[in-house]
Amino acid sequence: MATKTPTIENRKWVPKSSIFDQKTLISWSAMLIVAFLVLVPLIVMIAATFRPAGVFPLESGPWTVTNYTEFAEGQRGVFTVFKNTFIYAGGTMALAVPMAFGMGFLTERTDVPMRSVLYTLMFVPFVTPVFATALGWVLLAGPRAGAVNEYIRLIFGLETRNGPLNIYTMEGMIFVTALGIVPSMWLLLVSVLRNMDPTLEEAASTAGVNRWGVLRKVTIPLMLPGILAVVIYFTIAIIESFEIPLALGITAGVQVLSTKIWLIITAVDEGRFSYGAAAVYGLVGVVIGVIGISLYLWMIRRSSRYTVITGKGYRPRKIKLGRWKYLALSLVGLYIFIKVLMPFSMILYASFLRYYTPPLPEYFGNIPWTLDNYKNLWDWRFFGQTVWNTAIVTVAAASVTMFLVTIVSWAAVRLKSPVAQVTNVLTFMPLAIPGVIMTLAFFLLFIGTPLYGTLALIVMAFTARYLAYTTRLMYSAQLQVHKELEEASLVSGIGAASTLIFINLRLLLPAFMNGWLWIVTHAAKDFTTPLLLATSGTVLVANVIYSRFEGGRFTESAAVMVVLVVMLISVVWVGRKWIGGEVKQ
Amino acid sequence: MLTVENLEMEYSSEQGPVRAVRGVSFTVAKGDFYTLLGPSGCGKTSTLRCIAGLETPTSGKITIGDDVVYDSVAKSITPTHKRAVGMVFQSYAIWPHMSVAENVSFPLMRGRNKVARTQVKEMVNKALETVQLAHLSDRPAPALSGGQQQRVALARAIVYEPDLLLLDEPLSNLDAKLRDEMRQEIKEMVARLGITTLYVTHDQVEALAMSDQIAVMYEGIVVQEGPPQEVYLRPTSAFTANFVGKTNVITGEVSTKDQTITTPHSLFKVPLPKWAKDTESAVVAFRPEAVSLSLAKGKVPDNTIRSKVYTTSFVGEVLEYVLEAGDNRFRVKGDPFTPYSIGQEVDIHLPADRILVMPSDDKTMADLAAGQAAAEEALQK
Repeated sequence: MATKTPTIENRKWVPKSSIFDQKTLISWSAMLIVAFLVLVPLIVMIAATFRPAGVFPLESGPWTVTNYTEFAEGQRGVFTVFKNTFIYAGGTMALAVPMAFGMGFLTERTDVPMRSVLYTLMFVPFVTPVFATALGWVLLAGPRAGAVNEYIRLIFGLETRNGPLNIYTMEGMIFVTALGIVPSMWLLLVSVLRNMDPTLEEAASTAGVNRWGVLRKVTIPLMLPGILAVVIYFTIAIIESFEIPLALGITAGVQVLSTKIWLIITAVDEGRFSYGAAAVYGLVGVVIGVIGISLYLWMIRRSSRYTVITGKGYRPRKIKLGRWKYLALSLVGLYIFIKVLMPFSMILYASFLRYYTPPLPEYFGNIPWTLDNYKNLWDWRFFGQTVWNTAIVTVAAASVTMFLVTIVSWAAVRLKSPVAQVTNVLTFMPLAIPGVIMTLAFFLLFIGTPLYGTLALIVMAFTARYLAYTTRLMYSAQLQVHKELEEASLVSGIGAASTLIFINLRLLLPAFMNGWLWIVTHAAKDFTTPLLLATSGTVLVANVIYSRFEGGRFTESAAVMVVLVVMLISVVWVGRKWIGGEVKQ
Repeated sequence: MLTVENLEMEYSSEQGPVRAVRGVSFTVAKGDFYTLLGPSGCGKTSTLRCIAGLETPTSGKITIGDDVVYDSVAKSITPTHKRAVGMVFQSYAIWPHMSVAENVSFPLMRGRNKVARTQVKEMVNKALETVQLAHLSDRPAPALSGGQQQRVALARAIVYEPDLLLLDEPLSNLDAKLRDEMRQEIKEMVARLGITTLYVTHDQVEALAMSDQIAVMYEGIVVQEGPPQEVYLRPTSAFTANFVGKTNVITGEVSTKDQTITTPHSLFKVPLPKWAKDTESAVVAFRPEAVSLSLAKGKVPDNTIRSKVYTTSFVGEVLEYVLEAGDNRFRVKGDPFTPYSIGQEVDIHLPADRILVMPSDDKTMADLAAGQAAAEEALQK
């Protein structure tokens, strides 16, 4: 029989976690790694802004504010760069938002036919490298030999050898970029459209407001915060985008923030590099990013205030298009034709040519067909070295990142300790740091150290860049795992680390693989990090594509792109199939 | 076997710190089936989780067997995976990526309970036979019914023969029929294995039917502890009286000289508790089944309430009456073979040893109401 009288004194004691405790060890090491990846490069970048030309950021030597005064005086065309960047971002948004919203509205809120086919087609652009689209457009709308230009001149009998279209302009950049971001933007807008409570619209209809009145006065105002959030998010994405300004803007003489940084780093003024000047641009980019992301998060909160969660499985009322529906379908079809089919058929075509020849009737007899562009890939030790390097870097980056974010999100969901929360917040930061600036920060941190010029450095930069997105992904997956599944393992006598591996990680394997594939495909398609960090010993596929492109050997560049796209599609196909099987089980 | 001494636990919520457990002490003897019974939020699950090491107490001492697993004075704590316990969770927590046999063998393959590979198969089979699931050992976990998952969870908790088995509302997710079946089965199983068991439930029927000892918990403390009969027949608090079974109450005036309580309609001769003061009021409480009924006749005897039948309802084994005496109504159970009809005058006879005397104050009333609410809430689950 038990006794109620306290047998011991009632002294409070909350055990301090010792550093040898597995959980503490796990969360602290995760925080240190994340802090190293996110904070240290930024700090070094800030340090670099105070170093004169010719001095490495971490070297001993003089300090200076010259970089800031030069920037403020508008040297190196500072004002033009920022003007260009804002025109580029603003113009792209002006073109892309109506297209994406229109398509989102058609696919979500109308009875447009063949919806499932459209959905599948909208996902095709996700595996195609941005740079390949840009090259495709060079082949289509290049001022001289662009196929579209040639045909326009042929049909209208124009005498000129140039134009009328020129992709090497600000307008060309905006056009290609806008086409490119529509699918991702559409994907986010679809969820905004889906979160709308249809009864709010129905209430307006029953009150006697007509269909377009409802759209104008109810639907759009309610979705406005959600749409604005999407717009802000993509504006930042465009400010940081690098591939299209690189492929088109350099020739066009239009420099934006990202290409300016790259030009300063790769150019050597009078034998002296001037990383400090690039770092100042980077710092401005970070400030823009932080403001943008804060605005974005604020908008997200506002839009979720508007979100009225009604019962499960409701379907918003679909607007009947009637005889207009085939027009609507062909508009979406036209987009996919222009976005995907046109540039890629050009690249595929070009990859089989000895030298680029526009597909015009006058040349049809003697088109210089060849397989050499593919055969030559063996000579360049392409598969032996470049593809191998790319495979190592992407697989390593994906694995390291996913392990890290699994632990970070696990700690944030389960441990709820301050350390875990700080780590979780830190992983948000790369969202506000444009990729080109993140890479610049890594460049500045490691230039002059033995790590510079290694694949490991590229892996680290990719990890830092992809941390933010994959942490969100794993965090929401972690919330789905019932905590008792892990507690059952602990009670069975299995330690925290083993439980994390054999229960948590194993259960999250589908989400893990999803994020893993996302990183592999994004890293393989990325040009920013390879072009800033790769050296002669660490050439990646992106470097090969760019060097052929820059050297005017478009057909060789096209062949490498075709190989890259084929490899990416196979990886995604195999990965998806595996995830599908796993989820079904 | 298990000793919990002055256990306190706090956790922080958005509304500030919550004192979930406020000084709980009890001892479970080796081989006993011990139940923590209480409504949700009473601290019973927190107590269990502190014993498993899944929550960290703020003070107190917990001893499992010879191991002190938590002691706030000596400042020692043993992590969960080093405690000799097995546990069945409310959600069963069957690992969905494993088969039945893999679920049960997992504790034997890794960690503290590791055994030689050759022994694993034998032990898993034995555990699965105990829960009558040997024929399903290769089935993937998601393909199991709720009752089968429950058995897997039991097999997994006992396979490494822990000193102490912790059961956290294991039956609450089963449908009523299966629940009755499993209740019997779990009771027999732990008795056969001789394993010390700590059981947490909000269901008084489960607690009464399965336990050797029950601790009724309310607002973070143990309000009564004892064997099922004692808790049911001799509740020591108003909360227990109305939470574990139903209770009728009537208020009267104490006379210490005569050792009586006088209510408007009757006189009760009962042994008075020490706190009862002369001429002050006290509450007479009794169970619906504690009474015997007879047709009203002549003068009202002591320990009897003369009443009128207000409603009757026949539920088979008993006749349930609501009887009325002045402003008071009483729920009592009667013999179905001698029914009384609505409007008839009936005498309710209350033997003195079946009466519980409680102070007539706000706390008693509040505790009675809380017990009733908790019992109703438990029924709805």
